[in-house]
Amino acid sequence: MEEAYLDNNATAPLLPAVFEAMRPYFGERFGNPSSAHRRGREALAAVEEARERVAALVGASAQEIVFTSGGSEGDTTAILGLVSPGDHVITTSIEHHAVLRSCKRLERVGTEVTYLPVEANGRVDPEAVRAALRPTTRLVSVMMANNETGVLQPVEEIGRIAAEAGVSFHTDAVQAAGKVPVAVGRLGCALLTISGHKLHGPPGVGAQYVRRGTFPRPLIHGGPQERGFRAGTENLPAIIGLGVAASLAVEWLAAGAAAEMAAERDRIERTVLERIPASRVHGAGAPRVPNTSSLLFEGISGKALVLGLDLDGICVSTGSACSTGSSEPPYVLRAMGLRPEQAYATIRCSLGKQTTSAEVDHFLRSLPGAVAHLRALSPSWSDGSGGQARGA
Amino acid sequence: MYSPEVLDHFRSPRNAGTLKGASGCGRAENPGCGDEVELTMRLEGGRIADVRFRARGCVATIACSSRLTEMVRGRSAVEALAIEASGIAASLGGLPPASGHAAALAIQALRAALSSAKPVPGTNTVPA
Repeated sequence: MEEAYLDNNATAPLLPAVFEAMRPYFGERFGNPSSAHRRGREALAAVEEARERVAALVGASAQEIVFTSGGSEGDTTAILGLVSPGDHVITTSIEHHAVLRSCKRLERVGTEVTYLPVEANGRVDPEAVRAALRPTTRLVSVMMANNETGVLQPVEEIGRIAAEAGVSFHTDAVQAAGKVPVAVGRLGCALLTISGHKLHGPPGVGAQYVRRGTFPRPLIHGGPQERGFRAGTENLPAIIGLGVAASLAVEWLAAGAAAEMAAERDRIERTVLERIPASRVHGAGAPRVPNTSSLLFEGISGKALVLGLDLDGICVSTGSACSTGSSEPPYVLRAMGLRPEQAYATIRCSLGKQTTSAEVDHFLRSLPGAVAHLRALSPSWSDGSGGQARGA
Repeated sequence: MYSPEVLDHFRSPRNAGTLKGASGCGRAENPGCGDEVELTMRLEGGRIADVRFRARGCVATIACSSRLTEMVRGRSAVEALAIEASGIAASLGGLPPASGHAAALAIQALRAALSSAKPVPGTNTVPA
């Protein structure tokens, strides 16, 4: 069956060069970078090379990069590592669960958290950050790109506001790194979180930018790895993979490939809006990463559409993968002002660097029929042959 | 994850649509997941002579609603009301763990439809 993998925000496949670079580190080049012998020294050198590569992706110096197990660890460390009971934190209502649940955890021990709303286009108002600042504010955490809609937040402005107030700024760049340029100097952030498998590196590894002079309490205790920021024997193959993925992303961005990807994403949206009535793109007016498209089809269940497309070999998602197992309402879309039935009627399509236009064509061929099949069954849809359709 | 029977009902739903001249119509919604089911039916001589469903919801909701219309066709109201969610699920070869609400929602719509049905003179009154 013809396949189309359009769920790269959930996870992106390793680029071939990434896998090839990792392979020897599972085999003949295994080693513990902390070992004193030659094998250990070579492993250490490989880790340090990967560190340089990741630093180059975000405009940092290598000493400011800490390897982690991924985005969730990075987000959790940023929040739990810097904030203490009695502090105040400013974040948004659309952050990834790793940020939100870390904040909820802090609230239970006497930290106050302000969850800023977003506008209909999915963006936070930087002035709302400023207005929320208090003398006790310790941290502002605002994601760079949202995983469900791809909308980019005004993080440079927010970083400036935090800096002026002397407050640390963390940004979850998991969905942004590798898709759009990231420059920690421009952001003025103290902490920035990256995840390997979102940029075609391996899962189970990530990196945290920790600005010189910032000392988040480590989550993982043990040996002195990562200069005391994060204990644990380094996941050598994965770190190598992350480094190569980072370098490939730098090249991809420099080659202007993001504009091509955006054009393909825009083609999806144009086709959808032209061919399928009562459809909408969420966050279309806002700046977005080039690969994400959040699509509303009135009158149907997004989950059913995901499965209908799955039967045709097409992989997309409703909202974020982590909420698929639960039946909670898509909170990001609700925060943008959508009614529950609209939030439930939305799917997310996210392209990857390996996505071909044939895959996109396959998706666009199947989609209208899959939507029509569900609308024919829906009591909330009318094509004129009876029943009442709910207005937009 | 989904049984062949569930997928079959999803791809080729039975009795989809709205019945004209229905004697009973019932709707059920699950706000927790946004699913809704609507059943319309015509009762004759105390039996469900014809029935249709519409559903907006996940695969399980669509499959359970479709299957339920097959199970109630020709049955009396009393027989139809005896159908349980587990019975629908079993007849579909089982449902994935997170889909428990789907069969229950279909049954809720059925009960609402039967409650709304106008009793035909000379037959048993439809129980509330």
